[in-house]
Amino acid sequence: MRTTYLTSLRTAFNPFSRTSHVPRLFLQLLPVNAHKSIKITQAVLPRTTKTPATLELGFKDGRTMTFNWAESAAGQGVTGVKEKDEKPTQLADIVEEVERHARILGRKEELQGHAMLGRGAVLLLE
Amino acid sequence: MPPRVRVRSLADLPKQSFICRRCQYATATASSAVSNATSSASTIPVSPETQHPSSLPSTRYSVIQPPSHRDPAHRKSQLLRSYVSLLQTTPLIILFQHNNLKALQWASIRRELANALQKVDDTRSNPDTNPAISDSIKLTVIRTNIFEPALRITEYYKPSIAGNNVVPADGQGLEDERLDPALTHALSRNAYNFAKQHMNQHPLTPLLTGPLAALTFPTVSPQHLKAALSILSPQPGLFPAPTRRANPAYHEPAVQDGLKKLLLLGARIDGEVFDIEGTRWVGSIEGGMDGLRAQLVGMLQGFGAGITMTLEAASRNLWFTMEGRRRQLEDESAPKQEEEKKE
Repeated sequence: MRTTYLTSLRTAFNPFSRTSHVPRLFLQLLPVNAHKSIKITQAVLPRTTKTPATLELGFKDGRTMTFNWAESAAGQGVTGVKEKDEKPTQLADIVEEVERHARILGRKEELQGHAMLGRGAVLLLE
Repeated sequence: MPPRVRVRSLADLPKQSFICRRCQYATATASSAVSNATSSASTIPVSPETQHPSSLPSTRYSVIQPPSHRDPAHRKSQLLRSYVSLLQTTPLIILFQHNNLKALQWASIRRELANALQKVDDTRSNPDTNPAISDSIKLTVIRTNIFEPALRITEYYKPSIAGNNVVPADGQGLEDERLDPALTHALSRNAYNFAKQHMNQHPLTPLLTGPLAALTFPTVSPQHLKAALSILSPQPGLFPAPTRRANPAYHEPAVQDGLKKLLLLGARIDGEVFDIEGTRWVGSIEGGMDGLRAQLVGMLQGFGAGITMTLEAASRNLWFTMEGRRRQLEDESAPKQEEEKKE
């Protein structure tokens, strides 16, 4: 998972509930030195809490993604990026979103970089 | 005709079972143990039951390696046994999530933890009642998919001694010697079947996913727990981290970066499950178990005094009322006498 464009990560979950499964695994997917480049705020909620587990990701271009996992009898509800489905957001979905956004941002940077290179090449030739 | 008894001895088990590369080193060490077991099985004196031709030859296997549900040569089988032993012998287990810590960070954190716990041992007041346990307190990474069944076996599988030493006396052979009810060890099929009935019942089960590390204490000692929490998950106030002046090594980058990736999740104390607040409450008990006992004694004594005061309160109030009325009457009669005298 390309986390180079992630700037902030905020998560809160109750580890005694199944809703904490995805946020906890997402924390594990971060690279080793993630704390140096990403502002990570993690909160562990009390056992009896009923608040849904949350994960908020902030990117370099200002985009934010929010995911919630609420506890319900029939499974886990979800709000946030995928509102059309009733299925809870899976880890693979979040990873795919982050990768997709990273690709978009990477392409933008590459184009800007090439534009700057182009100008530099003109200067050199002169 | 006597019934056909299909009992496989250890020597008849297929030797070409698949073993993944990771487990091959375990197999290499265990195969020597197995060959020792089979050789010792042949030298073990056969019990009188097995000498009788029609009775069940139930002791064909070695006592040190009874038939197991899974191949005992695999590392995961031995891990299961060690986790069951860990859960049975450590009444205090704190669970942390560890997210990609480097080896240097692990080593530094363990060093700081060991130093802090050694300080608690050095400053304990009563060496008889508070044994030195800092050497036995370990922060180990655990494999949750093996730890979870180990927890189920520890919590739910309690084979009674009376029920499980009975060997079937009807002469019928067991289809599989692994189903022998006399086998009650952690790797036995009986343990497996029993634990399987209790899937997802334990409250700690949702915690046991992802990367987990366990801090294990051989006794419930709130002072050691407080020292450990001050290092691993400090909280200003109750569990203050050591200051830079007191412990400069604690504030080096390896320790601090590693601690950011450690997350306290919960604890299992004396079989009970606690979350973060509960764990901190246990750690904040002043004076350890001795202090707790002293508090209990003080509370009981105070409780007795309070009861007597409450019971006496009614009669005391009555006395005060009557005494007050008597004084009032005396005061009234005294000025009247003075007025009469004047007149």
